[in-house]
Amino acid sequence: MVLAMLRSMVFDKTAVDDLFQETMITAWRTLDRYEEDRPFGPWLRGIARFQVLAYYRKVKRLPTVDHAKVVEHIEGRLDEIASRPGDTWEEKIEALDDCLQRLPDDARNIVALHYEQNLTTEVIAIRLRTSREAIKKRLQRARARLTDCFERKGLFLRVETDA
Amino acid sequence: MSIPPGSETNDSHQELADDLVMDAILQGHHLDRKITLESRIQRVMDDVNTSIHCREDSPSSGKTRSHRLARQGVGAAIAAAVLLAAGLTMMLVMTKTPTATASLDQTLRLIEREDLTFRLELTKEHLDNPTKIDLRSPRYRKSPRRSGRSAPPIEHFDGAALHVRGPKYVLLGDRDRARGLAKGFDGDALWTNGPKPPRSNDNPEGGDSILGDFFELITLDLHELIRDLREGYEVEIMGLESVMTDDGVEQQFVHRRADRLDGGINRLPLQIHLWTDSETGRLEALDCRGVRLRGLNETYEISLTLESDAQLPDTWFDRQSHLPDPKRGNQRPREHDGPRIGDPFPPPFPPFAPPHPPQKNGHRGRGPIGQSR
Repeated sequence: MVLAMLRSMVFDKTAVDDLFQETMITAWRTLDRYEEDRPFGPWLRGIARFQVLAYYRKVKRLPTVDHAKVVEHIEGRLDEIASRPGDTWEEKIEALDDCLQRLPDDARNIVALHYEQNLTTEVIAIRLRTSREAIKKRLQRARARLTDCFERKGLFLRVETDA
Repeated sequence: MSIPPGSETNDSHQELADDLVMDAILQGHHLDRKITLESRIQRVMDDVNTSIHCREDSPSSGKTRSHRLARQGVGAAIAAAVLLAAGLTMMLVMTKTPTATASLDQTLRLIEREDLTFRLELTKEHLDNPTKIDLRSPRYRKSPRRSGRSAPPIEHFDGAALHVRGPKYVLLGDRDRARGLAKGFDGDALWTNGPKPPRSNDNPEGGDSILGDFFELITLDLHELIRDLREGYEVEIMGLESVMTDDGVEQQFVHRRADRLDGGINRLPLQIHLWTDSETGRLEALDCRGVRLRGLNETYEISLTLESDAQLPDTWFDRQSHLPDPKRGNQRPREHDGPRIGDPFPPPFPPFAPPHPPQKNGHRGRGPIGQSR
């Protein structure tokens, strides 16, 4: 979760790696200041936030956007997955393969090209003779179908909306 | 998870979060997670061990050695455990694909995650008749020999390319006029190649300040500018503007207009127009209007138009990648010369360039022009 928080605040992947490492090292060095009766996670995230501020001072930039609501939703989804039975991550999301099989052929094909073969949307667009935007939209729809499948299978709680 | 039914904003946050989670799940599904995790754990453990050895070697560490050694196991275990959990989380939250939310948050996020190349246009504003700068005017026709090492006037950056990767950027002067001037930030330091601004104590509001203001504006972190929209501007959504691409795919752009609330106390633009992709939230074009630079009476319009989001080489933001050719000195690059290492004006776009970016009215300049809704 620390890394998730770092990624939400700093989008440079290399910087995130470095900040994560610095957070861990700082936590180790200051472990004697940690009060055992308090939760460990917030303490660690506090260190990470300090590292982020130091990073922005170094690069002379203001901290980027605060999108706490989105992170809150992501954490909620991760909590839902974590609460599933199974010891490993793969066991907890074993329904994914079944959901992938239920995708329409064209959606499954694009998902395979992008995530399995690691092709960029530009390359897929050229292969399929369409635009990059169209590919991105199809991928987005495929992910929405998978989310819906997860909800139907109980991996995700269905979110009620006013709409 | 208890997510109360709520506003459209809350729903869009939920949609965005779901899309990011599913994208991360799919990425992680095909990654070699074990190797990735072990590599990360090893990095931290190496540093932890180095730290311990350094403390042990220190004469002042004698009193605490046993305590720290006893703590090593606990600390390492905690670090490793947290690292394992965070590593899994990281794979879940890794994102690179845009989503349906067209919010400014998403625009900011994409600016950080993608390599974006913008074309910069500079227009001197007249009250009701903005015109392109006439570079044939004697005012702008300075001889390179007589001007010595003076910095080029800001007009020479009309047509420049601005490459952005998160906080890093490179501004490459226009091929014909800026003669090798490149300015950038490599993540650690600011750098400039080409003519340096003249030092002048008796002209504090002169060209040096003008150029400084100009650079301050166009090379500021795009995040800061867009953040300012919400803090110092009144933002209004003007509507959706549609474009039909050659592939028959309709693209829509959200057009926002932001007017300054304070009436222009500092040098931020009086008005900003912003076009973002309605599906992805990606910034497609940005117009800064009413830009006033110190020492100049006229105001300028500075426009950034997205030309490419193709990935750039990692070294692209380094100073060494844009050194002028020493054989030519101040001679401008010849058109028939091909790209070469260190060329200040290499072709900026890798092969897969997206369709033409929208013009200032939000259109991409090809296909039938859509209706503003």
